[in-house]
Amino acid sequence: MNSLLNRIVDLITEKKNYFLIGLIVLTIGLMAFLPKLKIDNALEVWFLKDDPTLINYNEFKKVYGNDEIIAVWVKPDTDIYSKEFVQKIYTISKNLKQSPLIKRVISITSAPYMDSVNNELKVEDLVNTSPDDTFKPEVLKERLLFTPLWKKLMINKDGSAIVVLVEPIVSEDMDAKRPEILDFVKKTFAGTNYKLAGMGVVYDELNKLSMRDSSLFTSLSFLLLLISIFILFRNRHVLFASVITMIICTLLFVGIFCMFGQKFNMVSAVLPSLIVILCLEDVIYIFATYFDTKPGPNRLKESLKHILVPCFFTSLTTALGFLSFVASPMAILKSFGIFASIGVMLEYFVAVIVSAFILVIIDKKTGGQASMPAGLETKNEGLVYTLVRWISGFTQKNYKIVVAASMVILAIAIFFTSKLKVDTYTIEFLLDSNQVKKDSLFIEKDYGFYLPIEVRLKPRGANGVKDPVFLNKLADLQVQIEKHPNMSNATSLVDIVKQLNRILTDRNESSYKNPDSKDKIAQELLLYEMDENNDLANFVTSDYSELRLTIRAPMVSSQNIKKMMGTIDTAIKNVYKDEVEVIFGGYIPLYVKLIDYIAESQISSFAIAFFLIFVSTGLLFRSFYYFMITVIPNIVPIMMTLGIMGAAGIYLDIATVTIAALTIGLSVDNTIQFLYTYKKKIAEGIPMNDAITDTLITTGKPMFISNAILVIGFCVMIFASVKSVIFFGLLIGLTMLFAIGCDLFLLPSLLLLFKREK
Amino acid sequence: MKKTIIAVCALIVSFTIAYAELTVEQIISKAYNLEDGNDYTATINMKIVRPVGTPRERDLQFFRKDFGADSRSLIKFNSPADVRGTSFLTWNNKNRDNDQWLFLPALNKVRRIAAGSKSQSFMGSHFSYEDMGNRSMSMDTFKITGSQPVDNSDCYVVEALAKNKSEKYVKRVMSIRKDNFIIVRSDLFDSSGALVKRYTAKNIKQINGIWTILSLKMEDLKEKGYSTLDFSNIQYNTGLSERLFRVEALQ
Repeated sequence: MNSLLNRIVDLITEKKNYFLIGLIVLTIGLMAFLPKLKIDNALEVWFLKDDPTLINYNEFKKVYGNDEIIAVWVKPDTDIYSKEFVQKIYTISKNLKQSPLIKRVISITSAPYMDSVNNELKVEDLVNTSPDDTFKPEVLKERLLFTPLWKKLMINKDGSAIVVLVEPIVSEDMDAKRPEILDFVKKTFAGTNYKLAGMGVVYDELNKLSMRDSSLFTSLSFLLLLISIFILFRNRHVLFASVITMIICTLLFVGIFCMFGQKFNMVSAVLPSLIVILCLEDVIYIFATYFDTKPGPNRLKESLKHILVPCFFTSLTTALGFLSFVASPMAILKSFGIFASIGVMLEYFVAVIVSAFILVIIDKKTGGQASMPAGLETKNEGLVYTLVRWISGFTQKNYKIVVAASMVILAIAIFFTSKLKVDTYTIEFLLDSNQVKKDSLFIEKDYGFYLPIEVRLKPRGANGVKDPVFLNKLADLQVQIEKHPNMSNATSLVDIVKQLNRILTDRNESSYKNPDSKDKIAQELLLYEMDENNDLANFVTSDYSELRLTIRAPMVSSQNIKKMMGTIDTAIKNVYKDEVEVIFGGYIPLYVKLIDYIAESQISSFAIAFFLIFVSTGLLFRSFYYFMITVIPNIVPIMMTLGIMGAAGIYLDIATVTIAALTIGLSVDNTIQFLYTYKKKIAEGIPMNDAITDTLITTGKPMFISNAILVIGFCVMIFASVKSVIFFGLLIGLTMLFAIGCDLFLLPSLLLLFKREK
Repeated sequence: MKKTIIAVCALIVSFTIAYAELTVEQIISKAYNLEDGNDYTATINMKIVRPVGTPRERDLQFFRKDFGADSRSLIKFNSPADVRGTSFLTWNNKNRDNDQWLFLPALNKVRRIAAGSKSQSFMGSHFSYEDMGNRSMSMDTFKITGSQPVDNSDCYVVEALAKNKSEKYVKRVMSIRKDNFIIVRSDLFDSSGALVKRYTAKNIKQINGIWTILSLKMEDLKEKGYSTLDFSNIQYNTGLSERLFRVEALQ
């Protein structure tokens, strides 16, 4: 082992130029992939291609089209039926319909209107030609009010504004198309008083903010880290090494990420900053060890021999922490885990190559006599020295109390962790001041719910959809569902069939009902089918084997949507017993499925990370005793954070699910550094109490610095525009604070409590 | 003998020249105005296959009769059971939109269907009325682009570009058999230049001396669905009564 280490150290120091040039060439080569950088926050990217929920979603889109409807609320200065306003909406609808990006437009001018005139079934747009002097507002009003389906979907609560429903085309790459579609919609509505809402609108906003935040944080965290390093070290060599490492590491990682066609999202957006932070941690330890090693001709090689192994293991444990996400059922976490692991191991090699290169120069220049940077000096005075001495004295006197107090804290944390709620509330990712969020909530209040819950109903038996009993039950079901405070505007083929029956009979209100025989329904539908303007494809499959029931719900969290789906399912079962097959379609089941996947990912990733990290630590120290000593101080901070989340009502969601597995990989680094030095001192024959004090004095400062860097690096995220990212940064920062506390107080106390005679 | 050989050769040459010299307009005119008798009766099995769901089948009785330059057709539904007895009357007007009526036996009512464009779907299938032989020559400009065999029959390949660029299909590439001028294949392209539909005529036979298509298929290459029409019990010139094609006769 030692000879291998010697050879590695010789190679790094003697061939330093080749390594650095190789690294730079590789970086430049990979930079060619940077233009491929893309952002994708769509829900679909969370799912594996063969996930049944995703397959179901794609099937729904194939049958009925896109359920990612853009709801455009438009308020005129005057009346919604005024000629000027209708003219505007007519032009807007026409322009939207002509676009290859839009599949369907439902507006007060373009929605299909059916009537019977002179014994002729007429299906045409509500406003068939551009409103001119002959346009009569009362005719449009009469037509709109005559069609209950459109009345409930297109007019707001007080009748002062309209809602235009825009259905984009189904695209394989919806996330790439979405900004273009929304820009086009916004441009088309320019000049009117409008607001947009819809899940796609929220996603687009999240994508934009992620892109902005990603570049902002990377620059901001780089700047803050460099300032911190300079203040803490007060050494230009360390600063220079840090800058070079940061640049190479970032470009190299992003290049590899893009080369594999990966897209950044709200989880992977943190990767560049995270990898840079970890990289700097290694740089700090390498430099701190060099300056801490006795000056002399072998100073550099000795220091590298001491630090390469613990640094490798700290990087390895962090990488293993990330790798645990491979077990997640979510595609996005799998790729996050893989690329974060690659990034972490990459940063280790970059940090070692760059630091060794600079240290060789310093070492040659000073003949191995370079003095300790001002910031790293462990003089027997100063605040840090006094603090460390105090901690050492305190733990040695009160180690039992420290361990007992930690156990109490752990118990409390476990209690509150049990209160942790798994949920995802997409619109709540946006800050309250965000305009998209404000508009979405406004439309919900002024117009009503617009988020579609799609249900596919498959009656058992051929052509069952045309059965009057089935349709009558569906009509009752719609009424029943609409009575629920959080559900409204249930629509289905029933609305078409009833209206068709009304106009094909006597146009009276009393005829707005399903015909009483299957033949009548079939023949009326056949007549409707004959008209090229019919919109049956949006409501029923061409073979009439199933139909689509759409229920509008508020933009709530996935747990609440899950409850609503349960209510709908029960209502359907109560009405139909087992006469129909019920499949929830569209995007909502994906949203709900995330709850299960998040819980599953949290458990699997944390368990795997825990196992891999501690087994590798056990292998490093080749001792079960040290394995056990490492576990406790690293579990306590994570449980404390999860407990705080539980107590504060912060959801375990798609953004915060990574925290536990990630922080365990990070927090164990200091424990490894501490125990590695401590074990060395014990091996040198230093008595236990002195070994603890010496370890605290020598490793205390780099532990403080590396932890401060982690805390600063993550706390920068409080400036994010996405709430989940703010929580993510704050919670990791907090965990790191708890972790340093545990490493300084609990770790020595455990060593003292479970002291070994040898 | 020598004279006979010369005569035969002269006949072959003149025949070849006659066909070789056919202009594209002449080819199209022949293809669009094929001999189809004064009236026509057939049983049709229509199959509509969509990418999702089970295929839909309809059994229809079809009647057609010429009325001068125009023609009228009547389709009676035999199955499925819930639409049995429904009749669909179309007056195919050469120079204006078609007139259409549907008789619904369950309601005992005849309903007129709004005048639709000829590009609209034929009874909910992938075929349009134009595909059924109702497209006017004046709507396109034509060009012969070559010749190729289709199902062992030599064909002219004619490209038709729609004069009205806002039409659903702006280009058609038709394969027209040289021996009987039946369009055996037609590829339909949209405004982006993508091939979106393919029409195929198969099983072509002479019945009562009239070249007759027994099987038609229209594929929607975008949607990945298709419709087929299979004709049987075909009869020509049976002297169908004009009364059969009156609106009043539907009920």
